[in-house]
Amino acid sequence: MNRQQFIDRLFAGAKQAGIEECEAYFAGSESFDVDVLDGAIKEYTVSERSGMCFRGVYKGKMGYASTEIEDEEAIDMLIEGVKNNASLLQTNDGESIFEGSENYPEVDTFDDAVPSIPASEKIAASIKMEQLVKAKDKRVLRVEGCGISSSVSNVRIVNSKGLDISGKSTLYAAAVAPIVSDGGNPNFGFELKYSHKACDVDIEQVADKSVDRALEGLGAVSIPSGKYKCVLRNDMAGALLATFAGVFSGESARKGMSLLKGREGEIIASEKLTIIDEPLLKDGLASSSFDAEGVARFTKDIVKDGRFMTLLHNRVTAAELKKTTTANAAKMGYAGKVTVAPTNMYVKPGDISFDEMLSEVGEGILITSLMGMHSGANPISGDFSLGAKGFMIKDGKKAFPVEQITVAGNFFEILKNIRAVASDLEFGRPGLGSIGSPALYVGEISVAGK
Amino acid sequence: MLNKSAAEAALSKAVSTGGDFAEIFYEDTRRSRISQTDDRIDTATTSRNHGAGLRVYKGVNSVYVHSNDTSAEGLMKLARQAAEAVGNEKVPACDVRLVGSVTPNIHEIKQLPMDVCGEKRAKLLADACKAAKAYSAEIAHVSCAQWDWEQHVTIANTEGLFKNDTRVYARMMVQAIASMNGENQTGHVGPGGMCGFELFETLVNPEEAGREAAREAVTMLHADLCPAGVMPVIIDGGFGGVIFHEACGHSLEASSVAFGNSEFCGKLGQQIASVKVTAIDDGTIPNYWGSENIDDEGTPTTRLVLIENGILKNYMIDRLNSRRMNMPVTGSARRQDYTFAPTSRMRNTYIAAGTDDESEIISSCADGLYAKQMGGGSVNPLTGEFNFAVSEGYLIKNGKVDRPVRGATLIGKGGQTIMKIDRVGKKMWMAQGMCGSSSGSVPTNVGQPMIRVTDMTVGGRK
Repeated sequence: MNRQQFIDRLFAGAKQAGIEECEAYFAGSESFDVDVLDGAIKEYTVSERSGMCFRGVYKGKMGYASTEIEDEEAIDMLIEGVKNNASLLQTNDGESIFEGSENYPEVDTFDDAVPSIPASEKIAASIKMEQLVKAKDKRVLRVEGCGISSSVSNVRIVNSKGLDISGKSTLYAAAVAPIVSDGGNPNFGFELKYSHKACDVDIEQVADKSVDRALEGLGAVSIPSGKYKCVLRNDMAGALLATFAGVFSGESARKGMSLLKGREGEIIASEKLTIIDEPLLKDGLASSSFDAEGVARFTKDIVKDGRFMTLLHNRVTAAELKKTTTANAAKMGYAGKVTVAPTNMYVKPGDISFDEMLSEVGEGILITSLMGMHSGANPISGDFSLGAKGFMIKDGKKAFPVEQITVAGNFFEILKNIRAVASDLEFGRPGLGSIGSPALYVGEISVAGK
Repeated sequence: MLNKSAAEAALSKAVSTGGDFAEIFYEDTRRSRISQTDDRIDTATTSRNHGAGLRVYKGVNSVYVHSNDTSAEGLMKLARQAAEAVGNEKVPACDVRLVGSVTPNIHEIKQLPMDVCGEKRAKLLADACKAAKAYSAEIAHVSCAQWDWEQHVTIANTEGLFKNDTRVYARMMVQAIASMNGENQTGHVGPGGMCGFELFETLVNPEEAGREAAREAVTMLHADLCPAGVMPVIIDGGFGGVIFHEACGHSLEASSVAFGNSEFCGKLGQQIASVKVTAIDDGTIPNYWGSENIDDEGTPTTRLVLIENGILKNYMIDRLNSRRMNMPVTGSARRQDYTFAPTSRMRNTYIAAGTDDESEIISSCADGLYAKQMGGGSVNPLTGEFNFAVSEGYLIKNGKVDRPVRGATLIGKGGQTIMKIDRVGKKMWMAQGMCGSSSGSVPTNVGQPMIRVTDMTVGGRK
């Protein structure tokens, strides 16, 4: 059975079973990863994965079921699953199938070069990157991981209201984690660069930056507990924004889990802060032409000059909170229920350079690493207490590296306390995907050290 | 089911270009999940994961390929892809003969989750939610979920191994939010087991789970900010064991040790912890969340003493790293599903019961922090640096538990912290977590009795 036959039979069977309207959401990817050590392949992975999620309205409620195998048995399982799961629901949030937007914007997220680069070339590039790292400084002991990955992904939404749209994207990434030591305790560095386009990934730059970051932390010491003026380096400001991104979600708000519910129009941050969600951003990792419900994407300000403009919505959260959708419907994996997520969300860069920011601070602390985001941050209250590393700032410059400290504060207070926004916006730091920020001077922060 | 002759053909093909070992991991998994926000069920899903992963070694180099297509042709395609990646050596054909063998099931399942009707699941959530709300008027929101999965696997390799196994898991979660003057605090409980649905009629009482989540949220709503500084820390049993899991467990996994990326490399037989510490990683405890029959390479699971009276006894070793380390496997290979190659992972990992009296542990501690409930954390195995959150903490003043404090984080270096454990209590218990690492997210138990660390850096906002 090919995919079109599968869809036809599924939809016909669904109609017969009393499912009023329905949608098939397909997501597939082919990916390649190689990790090298000492000039040889350490790990090599090729993966092909596809899954589909079926959702449909049965007796007024939306049921979900999903499968990774598209056979006869799956059709029955999906239809029964949708009926049973819809019947269990005790709420009706009015979730419905979308008939489609009038126009869809174009996005450029596919690089024809990516699928055609042979494995041998990616292996050679990985080995070269390891050599570059080792050659850069004699304090480099070895790499903990060093490799290239690439993938091609596709999404298709087909529904019983006549919508049939699809999108595809490529990703090319290089990452390396050198371990360095000057005879004392070893230190890690890590650098990752990824892009839709293979030509954007420069392994020499990745290698250089990874070693710089490993070396600069050598000989770090703890500092006395106290309040310090604090700068979050661009990647860490982005990490904090990513950790608390849920406060801007209409889904969190309707569940009573966002303190921003109903506060549109209020000043919630320093006037220096503007946060934008821009799905059509050129080269944005999360750029896409439609959201998980099939609604055409568009750009919006979430916070503008300190004023809270809008929560992010899908069609359900928007209807419930009497707003219109912001085309931020998302799924956590193909099988997930439709929820809300930002696309390329970032803090709008300011005018001063990073160095100028440090001189404005004069004396304080620069945070370059935060640990424990998944455990030490409360996404509802905004409270956080996180392991950190960084540098003392003295006379407006980086003085010496600092480790074994924690920083604690509250996200909402940080937003209000922002004193300066640098111009060095950066996206795509490890694990953060498409959320970005320039460096932020966030006023004073509590530090626990020795 | 994995077809034996198709598997034999694919395995033979996989080692046709110079590979010296190949393995197929076949999986068919059914999942069911239901969740409730406040009084109503708002999500119910069922899903089926299906696929196979094929791995080839050449020495210590490894190739992994996986796909959803598990037909004979699909397996052969995987074998071809892997063989091409291994090289182009011409080697004599290898005739793989798979011999089925049965590992006894030590985890009795009474009610297969897929046979449980939706109404029964719904009642469980309703009971938990009601109990949480009834605990206090300050409980503003409660969310609960219950989920289970039934994983059928077949593992076959070029040494002739051919084993089937079924793993059944059930778990529930309650999160309560207490609210006052626009401020929110949360409490969280998540009991589970390698068990059928009978878990919720025997070991886990949904109403108690609801009350416990509510109690923690309300306690924290009335807590002061935690002071920052260096102080003695008493960590309670159960999920407190996350300190050992993060600070030491990960550094004893072969995936760190084999590459020299662990502070415990080359320290077998040496004292790495206080003499009070004996630590065990045990996959054999019937129906425990982190237990198994066989690991994800087909090796029978084991009970492994990691540390005995402070002396390092064993690392956790998977097949590939056993080659790198030239040491035997320990039944520790695990993976989230067929999309991951397995590596060495923890199972039910705990500090064993000691001899100290719990009340003395507190009364002999002048001023410090009592961490009754821990949140999650993370570690850098190379340096042993860890951090974790205290989700329910109290100050200790003059040897007595004083007022609750919130926002505390514990940081330190694993190797230093386990040397500073000066008390280990008598009563050990475990709690459930999902551990994420390079082979994905797997169910693990953490556990310990009450322990005391002479000094730790506590992060707080005051």
